[in-house]
Amino acid sequence: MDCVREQFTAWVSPHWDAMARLALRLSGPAEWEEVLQEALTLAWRKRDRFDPERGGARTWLLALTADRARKSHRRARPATVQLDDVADAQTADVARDVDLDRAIAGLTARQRCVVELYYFLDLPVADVAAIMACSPGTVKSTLSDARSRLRAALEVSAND
Amino acid sequence: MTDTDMIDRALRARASRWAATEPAAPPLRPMLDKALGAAVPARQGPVRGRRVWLSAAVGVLAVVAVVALVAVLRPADGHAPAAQAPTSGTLDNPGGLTAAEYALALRIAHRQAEASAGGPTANGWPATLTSVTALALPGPAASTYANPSGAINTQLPGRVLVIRLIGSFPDTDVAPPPCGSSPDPCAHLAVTEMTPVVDAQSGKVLTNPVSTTTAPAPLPHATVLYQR
Repeated sequence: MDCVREQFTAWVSPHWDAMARLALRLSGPAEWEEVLQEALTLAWRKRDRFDPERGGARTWLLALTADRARKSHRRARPATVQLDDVADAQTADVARDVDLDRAIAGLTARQRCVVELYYFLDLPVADVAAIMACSPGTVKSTLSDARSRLRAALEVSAND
Repeated sequence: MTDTDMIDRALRARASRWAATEPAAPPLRPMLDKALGAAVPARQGPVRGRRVWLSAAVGVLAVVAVVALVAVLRPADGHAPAAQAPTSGTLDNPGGLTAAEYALALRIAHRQAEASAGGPTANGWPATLTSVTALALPGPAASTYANPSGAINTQLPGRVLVIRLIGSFPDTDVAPPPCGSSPDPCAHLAVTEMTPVVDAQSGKVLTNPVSTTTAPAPLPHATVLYQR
């Protein structure tokens, strides 16, 4: 058991930070550790089902994390900047971040997942497609839709 | 610069600022300890051990009693219980599975059901499952099952097992076509039928098409592995 555990730890370690970042982005500061724990538990339970022919460990682990975040049914509060902070010095950037985070939170679950994976985890389109189990073309069109929606949301926000 | 470029730049800038302030990932090992605690119950004390042995003994006795009862009450028309390996090519086994293929089909079906339809209940199958049937076929004859849409060229080995699970699969969902043909492009459709096609020799799952049909039907002329 210890040997299996060590192997599993070594296998997950290189991707642990990425899993944590995705959990944080998709679930928000209140629930991300719980989602991360669930993803890790699921990965341990299903480790025998990992098929390297279908994609790498990173893809599989991030897909599990995204799945747990979605199933948690908690609408992700983005890794927000607290409004109190807006009063602080770097107000322009912070206010922009607040608006953008709100707009991201208003995307559909699928659009949001693609945006988080592509921009915040800095993954290439091919990896995002593997995690989302869709084609690279679908990822690109989802990204495009998401950007249009963000643009519209930010315009509304600017006019308020 | 287009508006879309501006959004792209804004997102990249936001991601960069966020990366600079994000909290560190929690240490992996304590979380793995917790995961292991959740996945494998820790060994308990002697009282718990005796309980386990007692439960096991009661379980064995119950299984013996059920097997004896089934043997006594076995219907005269020769239909074997679904969980018992039938002889190939008999009325009980219209799917033509050998005993080894039958065992393999059962194993694959259980694995598939557990992964997609939730954990097993007392009868060994998830409560959301209603039927499992299986067929043994030459590879070419199984292509309609392996590739129902005809969209891809699936190479099948000499002999395959086609297994169909019918029920609801809460852990599996299907995204609709991405180009807006659905009113809600983010809606996920409920899967009602899975038909994994398995290499009869190696047990490797070759394809696993799923369907969202509202009227799923068991495989025709197939051996019944489970029927609720």
